[in-house]
Amino acid sequence: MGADLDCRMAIGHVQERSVMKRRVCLLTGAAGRLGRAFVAAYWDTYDFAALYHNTIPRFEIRPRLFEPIQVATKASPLGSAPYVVRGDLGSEEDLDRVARTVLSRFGSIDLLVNAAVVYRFGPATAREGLRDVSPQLDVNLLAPVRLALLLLDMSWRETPAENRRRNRNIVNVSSTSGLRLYPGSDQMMYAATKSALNMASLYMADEFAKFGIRVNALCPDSFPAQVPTEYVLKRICALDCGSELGKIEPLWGPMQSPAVR
Amino acid sequence: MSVNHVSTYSVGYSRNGSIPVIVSWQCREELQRGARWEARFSPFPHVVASNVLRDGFYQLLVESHRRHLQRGLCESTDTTRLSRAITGYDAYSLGFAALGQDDPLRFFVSRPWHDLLAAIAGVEATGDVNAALHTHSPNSRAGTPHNDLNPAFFVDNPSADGINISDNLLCDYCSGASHRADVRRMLRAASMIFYLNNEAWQPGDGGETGLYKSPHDQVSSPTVALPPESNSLVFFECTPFSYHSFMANCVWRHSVVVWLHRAPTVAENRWGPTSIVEWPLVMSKSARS
Repeated sequence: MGADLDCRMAIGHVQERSVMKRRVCLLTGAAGRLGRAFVAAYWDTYDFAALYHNTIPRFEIRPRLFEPIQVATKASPLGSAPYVVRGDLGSEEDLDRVARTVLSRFGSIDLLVNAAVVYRFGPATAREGLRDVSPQLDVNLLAPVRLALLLLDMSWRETPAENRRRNRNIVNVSSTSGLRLYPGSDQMMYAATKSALNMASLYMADEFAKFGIRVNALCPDSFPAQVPTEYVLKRICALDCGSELGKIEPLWGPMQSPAVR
Repeated sequence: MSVNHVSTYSVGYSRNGSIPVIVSWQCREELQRGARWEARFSPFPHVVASNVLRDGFYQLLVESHRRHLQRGLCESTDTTRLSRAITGYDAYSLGFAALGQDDPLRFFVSRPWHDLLAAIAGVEATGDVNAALHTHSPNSRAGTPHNDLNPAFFVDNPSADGINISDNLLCDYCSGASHRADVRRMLRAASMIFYLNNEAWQPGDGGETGLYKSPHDQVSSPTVALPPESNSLVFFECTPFSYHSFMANCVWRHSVVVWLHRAPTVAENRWGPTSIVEWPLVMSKSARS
């Protein structure tokens, strides 16, 4: 709870420092476990643009009373709900539309969280292991890179000073599967995409830095089984309000002793 | 009673500069002070409000509504009184284009009310409005969950305050059929249902507005059921998941429905070009008003 409060205060400090609006977060995989939990925990902290594809995202947001005649000077009461956008992360056309739509709505993005994931497990010794490789490559690896590039070209490239002032950054949600072998788990292609995402994050961090955009990757063990989902969320926010650059941060579960790693 | 007294307003812009919001308005005189307005987010974002209008003004609306009821219910389409005008919807309807200029119910198609709803929903509405009285007699058939993300056609025929009320005699709302050349295809942006002149609602009376997670949900098993209590309203942005429906009733149920509109590109950009729900071909002239 204390860490959470610190994180919110830090985010608030970033906002105060930039003397402007709340931080805007573009979140992919909004209908997934992590996406829904992120919105539920931080909807009063961020303005969310929430991207989904097939599953309609349902967010647990507390009802709130409001005075209709005061709406004039305050944000829309329903506007505090995430700005939900639909798009196929495997489609470059959709990604382009999503980026334009979100930027048109919010002006710019302070935090891009690539939380969408596709996983298809299968043995490396059978064709099954190559089942649905393309969606995994598209969503786990290419979409985070493409989306970041779209935001760079449509917005960030022209505003390096503002990017630094608002501490803009990207958090790629990767996995410990991209860091180590899990024997017998049949994760070959999934793990390969996550490992590639980690390396992509390093190169992105190196090259986006000159535009004032930090890039990091978070590699949680499976959640909530090994790592509490809330802890993953806190680390995302910590990366958002911190100064790390090119960090590949593992979140090992208790079963992952250093010897096993 | 004239509605001119509510048409003074000025417009500012929201924090991101894109959404016009009211910075002052005169409509506030008609709102009940201390009324309960609540934004809720399950199963989709919506607003419910009770005791919405101050008593004196609400009574004016009820008296007007009674006058419309006294003209009788017509079993065939009649654009001048409550009639069976909506294909596939078991209700009597009267479009607001037929209301006199001095009808206090026109409050719901006034510029301040339009702008208030737009500001609450956070939508960029164009001033194009469709509104109607709906009356469900006892034991009306329940509807089916639908999201209201439908196209709508307008020609320019604005009121003095710039609100452009749908008039099927000028342009068919669903098909765009018109003798005029300036037909515009728009999209429903937000839906409002205001309940009025109903008997005190009791559990079992039915007639609730059901809110659903999916179009496949049983209409009798909504996630949320909002009773049609007089002087209350429900309001929401039309999205691909704003599934709602009229639920079967045992007693009379009266309401005012209002739709705000926006450019179709807004939805196409946000949810993809296939997100807009076209009208069934059976929807005839005068449908949905």
